[in-house]
Amino acid sequence: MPRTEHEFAVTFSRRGHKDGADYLVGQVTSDTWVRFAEYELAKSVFHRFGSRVGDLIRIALSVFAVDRMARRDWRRDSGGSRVIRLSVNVTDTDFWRDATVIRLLIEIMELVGSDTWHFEFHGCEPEFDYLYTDEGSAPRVCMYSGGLDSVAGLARILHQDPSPILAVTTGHQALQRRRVIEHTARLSARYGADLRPIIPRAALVNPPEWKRQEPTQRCRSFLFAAIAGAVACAEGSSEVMVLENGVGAINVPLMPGMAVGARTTKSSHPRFLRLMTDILSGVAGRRIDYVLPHRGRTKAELVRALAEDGLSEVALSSVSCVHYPVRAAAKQCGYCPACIGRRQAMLSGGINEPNGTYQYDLFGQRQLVNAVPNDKLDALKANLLHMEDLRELEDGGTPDWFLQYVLGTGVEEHAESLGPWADLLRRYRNEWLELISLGRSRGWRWAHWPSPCVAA
Amino acid sequence: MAENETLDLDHRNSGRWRILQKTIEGGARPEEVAEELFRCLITAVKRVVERIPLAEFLDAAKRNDEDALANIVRYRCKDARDYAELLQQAACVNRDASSILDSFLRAIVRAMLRRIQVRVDWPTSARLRLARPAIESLMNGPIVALVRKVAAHPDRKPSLPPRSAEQRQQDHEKLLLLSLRHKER
Repeated sequence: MPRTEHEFAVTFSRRGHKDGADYLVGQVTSDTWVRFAEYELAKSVFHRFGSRVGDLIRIALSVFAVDRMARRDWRRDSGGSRVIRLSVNVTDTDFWRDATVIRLLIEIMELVGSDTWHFEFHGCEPEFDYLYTDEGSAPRVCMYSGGLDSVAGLARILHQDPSPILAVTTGHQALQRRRVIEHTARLSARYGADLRPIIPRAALVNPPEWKRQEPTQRCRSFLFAAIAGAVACAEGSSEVMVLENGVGAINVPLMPGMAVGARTTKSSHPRFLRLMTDILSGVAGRRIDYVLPHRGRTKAELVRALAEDGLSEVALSSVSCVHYPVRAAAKQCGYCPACIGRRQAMLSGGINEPNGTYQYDLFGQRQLVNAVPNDKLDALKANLLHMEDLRELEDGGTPDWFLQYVLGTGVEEHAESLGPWADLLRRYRNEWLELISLGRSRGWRWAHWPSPCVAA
Repeated sequence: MAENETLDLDHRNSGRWRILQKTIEGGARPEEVAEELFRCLITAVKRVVERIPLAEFLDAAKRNDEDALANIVRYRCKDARDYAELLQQAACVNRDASSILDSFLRAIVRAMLRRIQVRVDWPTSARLRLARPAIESLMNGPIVALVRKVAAHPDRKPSLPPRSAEQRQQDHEKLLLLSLRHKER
């Protein structure tokens, strides 16, 4: 049975809104549009975008919209892979029709979404004439989601060097804007830094009902990276910082073989960042790198630094949960892989979260921990079993599964470069072992599960 | 769980893997688990041979032609993208057909046993962990034989080991039962 095929032609125009601002609007289907608050960029980035940068934004918005509209059919393809044909209007057709550029786009989509994309570009007149000067002041630019890695990662950067930073968030989540503004204000105050949040919102207008949309949304990472890249282009910056910790960036699958298919996020994966660097550098006509300044750190190490700087409160106000907000209570679920990773990092990093933060508490009071139903334990169990896998990295070992994953997904291109990643994962495993010991002393039922092999 | 995915126990074509899970939950000996696991593996390879141009893939890997490998996964696989990507990862660290297939089959075994370990209750999971070395050791010979067979004829589907009529009937009933339960869910 062939894979599901989807075809979209997205055409963009600029439209005024009742609030008086200009939006970039792309018609995705006869009923649905993608709308981007480009005035948020205009008012924050006082420099001119080149036409290719404008094109990159249109393409990324189209990908964001189509990724949500084109549902994966897991019954037809066990990897959930789709074939997507996308046509977009751009101003610089010569550039975008170049075989190397198309290939880069295809490889990016393939990596983040496990899909096969076909791109077609049609010409249109340039419209980006509303911004001011040509040369930016080259501040630093980072991608900022409002999650724990963003907060802790940015604090770490500012701790070392408080020179100006633009924190770029592509708003797509409830309460995200308020959270980001609050974080950046607190970090600015703590480090005396000129930290400016830029939060343009991207949204589908009149989308299909939620259950008819594709929930995985793996390709949205391309939009987030592209918008931050556009800011770096306009401001004359030479790099875009991605604030993910090293363990999260390479995202070694909790279960072997999990890194194939579309349900594993690769939004900070080193190969994704290399591909984005290539495409953005082509767009800008100069080298702009996406970099992972915390590739050598675990999440807990970042959290510890945050706590030492007296910023525990900011960490507590960040959100990591993939299910957030859980109903009206605006709680994090407590059992998804992201919540498990967050709680491990907070505890190992020395920040105690108050009771009631999570819908299910797997790391708190004994009675609550031991009352969590079995069907909410899969992610925790997968993490504990993962520690058993990571044990194979002890004593300098490089097991086949690790080699295949790291080289096969392009984390590194040569086996000789794996050492620092293995060291990082060994430290990460040690953090978990300490947490398991803590759990045993506190009477957490699950902490008694791991085999001697894990807990040794 | 949110990140539970591919080569998935929940997929409608994973009935045989779910039988393996039931076998393990029923406290089967390593020999019985290995036998059922091998049947699962053959079913998986049949699926791969049906959907991925394996001969072309192995030939491109031998030539170290990464573009050709990527194009096969991108444009030539009818579906089963998860298996294709796993195969591609195996080809990143191996060149000859036998090593790639060996690595690929062991990765499938590892992946599916781990999925089952996560799915079952903790005592069963712990029991499976203890039994794994024995199971993997029992799987060595059959995997090597299967690799040899597939490497020699990459476009030919391997056949399942013969079973008695009674065993076939039991298999059929188990699959039917699991299918009904799967639909109910």
